[in-house]
Amino acid sequence: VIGPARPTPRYSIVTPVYEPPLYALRAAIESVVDQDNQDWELILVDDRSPSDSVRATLHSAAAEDDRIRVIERKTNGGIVAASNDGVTAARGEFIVLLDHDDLLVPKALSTVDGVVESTADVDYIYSDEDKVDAHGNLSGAFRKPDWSPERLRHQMYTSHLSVLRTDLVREVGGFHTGFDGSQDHDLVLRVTERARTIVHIPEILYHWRAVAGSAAATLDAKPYAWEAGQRAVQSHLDRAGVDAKVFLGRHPGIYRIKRRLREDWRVSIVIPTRGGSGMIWGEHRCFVVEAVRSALSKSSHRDVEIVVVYDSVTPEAVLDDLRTIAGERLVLLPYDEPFNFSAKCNLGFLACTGDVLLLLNDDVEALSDDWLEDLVAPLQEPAVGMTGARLLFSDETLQHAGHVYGRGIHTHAFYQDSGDTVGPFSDLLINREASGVTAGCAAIRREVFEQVGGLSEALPVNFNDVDLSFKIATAGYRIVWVADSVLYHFESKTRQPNVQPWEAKLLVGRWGVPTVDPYLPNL
Amino acid sequence: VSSLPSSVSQRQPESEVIALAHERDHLAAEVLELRHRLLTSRDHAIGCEAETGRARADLGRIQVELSVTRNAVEEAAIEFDLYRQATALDKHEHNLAVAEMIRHHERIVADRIQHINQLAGEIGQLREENIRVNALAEAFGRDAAAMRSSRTWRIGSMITGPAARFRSAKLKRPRT
Repeated sequence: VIGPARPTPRYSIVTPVYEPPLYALRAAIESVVDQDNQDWELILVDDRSPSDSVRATLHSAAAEDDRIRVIERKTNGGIVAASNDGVTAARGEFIVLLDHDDLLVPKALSTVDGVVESTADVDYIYSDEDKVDAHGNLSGAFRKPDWSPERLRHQMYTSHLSVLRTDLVREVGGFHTGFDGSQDHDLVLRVTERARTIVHIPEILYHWRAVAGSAAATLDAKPYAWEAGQRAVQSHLDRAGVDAKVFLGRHPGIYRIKRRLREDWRVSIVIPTRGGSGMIWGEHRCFVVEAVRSALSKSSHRDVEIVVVYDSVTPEAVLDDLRTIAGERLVLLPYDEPFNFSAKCNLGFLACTGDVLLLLNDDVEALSDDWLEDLVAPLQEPAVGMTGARLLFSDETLQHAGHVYGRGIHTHAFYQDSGDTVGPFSDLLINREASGVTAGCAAIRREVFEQVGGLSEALPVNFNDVDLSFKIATAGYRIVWVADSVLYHFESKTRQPNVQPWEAKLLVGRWGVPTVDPYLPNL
Repeated sequence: VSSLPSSVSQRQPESEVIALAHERDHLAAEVLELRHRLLTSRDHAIGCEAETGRARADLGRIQVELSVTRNAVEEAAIEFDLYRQATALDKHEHNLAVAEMIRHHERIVADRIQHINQLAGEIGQLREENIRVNALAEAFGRDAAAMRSSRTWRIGSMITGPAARFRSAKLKRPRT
């Protein structure tokens, strides 16, 4: 180790170095020296770069600033070994990860320090980021969601800037070999499994260098990293006791998780209906009959109860068809009060016997195999209170990909976008936390629905699912949108919800006017 | 919650069974209604708590704003006083304006406090109702259990059981 040992700084910036462009390396070091907050040390770990000029640059920097320390590895050991050398040498309370060609913004550490000062038990901090090219042009600002553990399993979204409590990094064993290229993802998964408090700073504090061959420039530049990420997520799920298998996603850098639903869980599908019919794809159909038929045929889960809450106008022939399709699994509940969607769902809940309540509109058709298993299985984690599905209009455009509450409105995210849209930051390819989901297709654990008082009957038509989502989130549960559970929802694309002023007033009175959605801040 | 009617034990077994079945259906309906009330009461209580929380937060913000405004007014008063001395304006008019501004903000705070107190009262009533409904539901549950363990119920079950099983078997349809 070259460089003097100074009194303990709060932040140890760890930078593994291997043959970077010299201009980028110098810029990275300068971005540290230029920090507003000076309570840092920079540990540059040279992983036996072939060029003498790299070592000369490192020594020159250390000679100019005694807070900069250089570790020279005798052999090239890869990024995990180099990073671990940095962790071992770190004396700060927190480790700050900086790649050898990236840039910290001048206020990065001072902003982080504000969080550390105000949050005593913070163990992990991450910020927003963007990309910088060789000419210093900035692009691709990534305004990240607040802490989203489900999303982190599908995508290393926290990435840069990441600041981790040093003791915790050492406690989990530092970087693990075998995860080269996704070593950060693996480490963050292990740290966040034990972290007391995790804070997202919604400011860009890091510029990620997009040069040829870097992961920032092109996601498929490092295919080995993708596979390492898959192993990291699988290991995390195994540690967490989640019965699931991880697959590579549709795009590099993202993953699909297939959970197994426990067989002894009874799922009660509650469907309010009037027994209505309509033309779909040129064919006349009774909505509720086809909803039940597809729901059962597209799922292999055995213990399913179908609870149909029907208005008195429902034709007897429709009820007969339901009896034929669902047999002894069917529970029919007459409802003869004025229309109140919430009351009908609550009635279904009170009559059902399932461990999980699955609210389903009657004008849907299950499309994906195992739609029910995919939708319900995340609820096996106690922290998840409600899940929602991907709903498509009959023309395959998006009807529902989670709610978004921001800029004064409560609405559907990506409404009417093409059904095969990837979405910004792969938002539409991965399971992720959402502020809310539609009650048109939502699964909720029985005790959670009961705990929050069900759907509010004070909201008979509009916003009852928004209110339910707020109640569930306020009770401390996560709400997860499930990308792989897909159904058609034959709602009219031109239908405008007839929202009454009193409905909006009631909702805002309870939960306030939404400003920025915590999980889809870009929308 | 009443115990079983005394007339039940004086009837013939078959009519007793019918009466008990009616009683059971009645009890089940009442329990369902109580559970429904419990659910909606809980929703109402959560809604009130959310509103109260928001009102508290608003109050906190208003108090901060009021404090800032008071400081600004005091500073303005000093400046104005200096100005008045320089221009010999009537100090009385200025004081009236300052006092009215402070009174305005105090009225806002008082309204908020009243609103919070009202919501807190509603929450208290709802909690009491929840306790009462819970107690009723439990009592119904106990009565239903006692009824099921009674000799009359067992006799009734022996009589009606075969017919119920027959009906149940008839209703079973092939699974799709």
